[in-house]
Amino acid sequence: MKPNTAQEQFIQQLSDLQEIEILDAVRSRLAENEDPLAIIEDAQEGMRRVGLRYEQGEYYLSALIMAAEIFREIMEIVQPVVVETQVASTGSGIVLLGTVQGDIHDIGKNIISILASCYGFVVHDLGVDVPPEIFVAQAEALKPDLIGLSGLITASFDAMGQTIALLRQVEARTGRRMPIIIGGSQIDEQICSFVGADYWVRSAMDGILLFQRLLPNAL
Amino acid sequence: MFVRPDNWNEMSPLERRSARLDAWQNAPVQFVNPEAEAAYKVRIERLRKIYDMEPHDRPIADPFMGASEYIVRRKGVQGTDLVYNHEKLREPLLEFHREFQPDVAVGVLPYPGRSWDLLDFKLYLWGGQKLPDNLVIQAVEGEYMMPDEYADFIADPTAFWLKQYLPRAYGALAPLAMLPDFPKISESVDTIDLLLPFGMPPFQEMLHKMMEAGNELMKTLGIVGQTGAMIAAEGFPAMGLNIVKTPFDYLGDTLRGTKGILMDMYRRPNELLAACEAYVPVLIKSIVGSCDRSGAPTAFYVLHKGADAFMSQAQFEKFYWPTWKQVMMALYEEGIISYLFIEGSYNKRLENLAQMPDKSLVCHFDQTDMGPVKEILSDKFIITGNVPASLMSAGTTDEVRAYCDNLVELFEDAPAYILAHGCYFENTTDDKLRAFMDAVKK
Repeated sequence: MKPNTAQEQFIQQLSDLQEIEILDAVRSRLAENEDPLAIIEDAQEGMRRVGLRYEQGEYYLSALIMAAEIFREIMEIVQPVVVETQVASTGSGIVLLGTVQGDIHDIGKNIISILASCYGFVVHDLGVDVPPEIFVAQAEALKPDLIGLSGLITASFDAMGQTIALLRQVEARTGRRMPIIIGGSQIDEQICSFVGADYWVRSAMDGILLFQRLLPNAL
Repeated sequence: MFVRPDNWNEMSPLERRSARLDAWQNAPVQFVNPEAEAAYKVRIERLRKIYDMEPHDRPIADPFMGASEYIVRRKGVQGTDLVYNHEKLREPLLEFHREFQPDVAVGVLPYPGRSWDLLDFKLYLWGGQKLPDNLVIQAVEGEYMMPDEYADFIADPTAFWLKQYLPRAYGALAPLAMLPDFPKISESVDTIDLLLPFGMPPFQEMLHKMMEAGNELMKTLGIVGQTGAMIAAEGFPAMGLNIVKTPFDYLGDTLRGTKGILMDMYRRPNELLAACEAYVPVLIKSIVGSCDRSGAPTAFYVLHKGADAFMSQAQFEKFYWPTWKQVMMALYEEGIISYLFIEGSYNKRLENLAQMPDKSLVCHFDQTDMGPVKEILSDKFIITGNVPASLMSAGTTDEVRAYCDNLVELFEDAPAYILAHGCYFENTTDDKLRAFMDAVKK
């Protein structure tokens, strides 16, 4: 459907991080009995534009956090009037995320979690300080297309290695390949190879771009 | 303790700087033997020339900002020992100095675990408490100042710190909220207001806990201080650092949290700016006072949220840089060197740093591109850092050697370079550490 002006303005307001205006617009659209799913889709498009502006070097972590907060507020308003199943992803793929055992940092992981949802991925976020066994159990239960391990501190390298070793056993057992991505500010190619991951990223947006590259059906 | 000379008011900033460095360099040390004394003098004279950006025989390697944990872990010390068992650190530290003969002393930070337990400290988790024994500490992100409390903070940062922040950061200090507003204690009967909390059982219980925690702290400081003195006695001078933050990072790391403060740039920019401004005089007084008390010639900034990834250049120049620069300029006037431990990358901020006066900074980089650093900053400031933690953790000895050789070569003609790591790491090998330290001796 070709976007109309009001819709375009809505998307642009989110992309410009105009928090008050966009939340007012959400309430107005709901008051006019507009389909909440259409509001969510527009908000997702706004978030994708935020991502683009990040890629282009206009936005930084501060803008991603602000955008994620606005998106959360939109969902808080919209969610009560929409059946949860209706908000299901458009099917970019299933992502399992978590900060590895021994590390309690979550800002980067949380941003990637929200952004990934906006890009149509179904995200299962296991939280922080996640033991390897929990990653394994959830990987077996959820059958994710991608697994993302987050870790800010250098002490997390060992936990990443242990988690990945166990996840590789799941792959061997099931014959199902699950690309494993590690993320964190001290992560690089050397650590990726050291812990046995497939890919590495240092920023949330780079993570989303990688998800898209790895899963051809992604938005 | 630094004592200002009589002619302090007539001295230029660089003369004051020299006076502080003289006091640090000539601080009394009880050496174990004449050889240790001679070695100490060679080392501290070299370091002094680096601080003064004067010609010297070679760069130095400083393993402290990176390898200090490994240095004790290599002898079986656990993360929890760094928090609770400081006496266990002594022998591994002394052994390291004897075996590796570093250019400067390598100590460990005196984390006072028992004091934290007694006071129910909430800003961190630590090994032996809620983290596994192999880990040391991790910061707990939180909002210790609510968004609607900016006005309170701006009106009186010290009162906010005392009566609102400390009761939240330390569970046992909650009764501090009972304290009166001190500036109104004036008339005879105001003594009632002043003393009333001190007569209350919860406040008295808090005071007892604080004394107990203070006693534990003195034990920790006694052990760590004695270890530091023993390291100096064997010939290894300390860099002389005094840990501080920028106004924005104090607000962000400690009061509002990363998420809170980054959103405040959008939601309440004027309050955030006013809070940073209100912080400036408080911080200057506090940092100068602590440098005077400790005799440390440098204020060691742990820098977080001004890094390239966190905010745009426009946001940096609006929210982060101006008040930080004010503080650093005031310290420069007081003869205090600002040592910047720049976590992440500062590729976009180099021109800002270049605005500072010559010799006012030590710039310690983590992931910043060192080519532009050399070009833009190395004639003005002491440069250090950039050996990656990932390389020390996962690289080979040859890779470490090649990386360090390249850095030393890059800064060969710079007035002052210190080879150092970009970030802390827990695991490496003796061979890699030796390759790092030997790179400056070729």
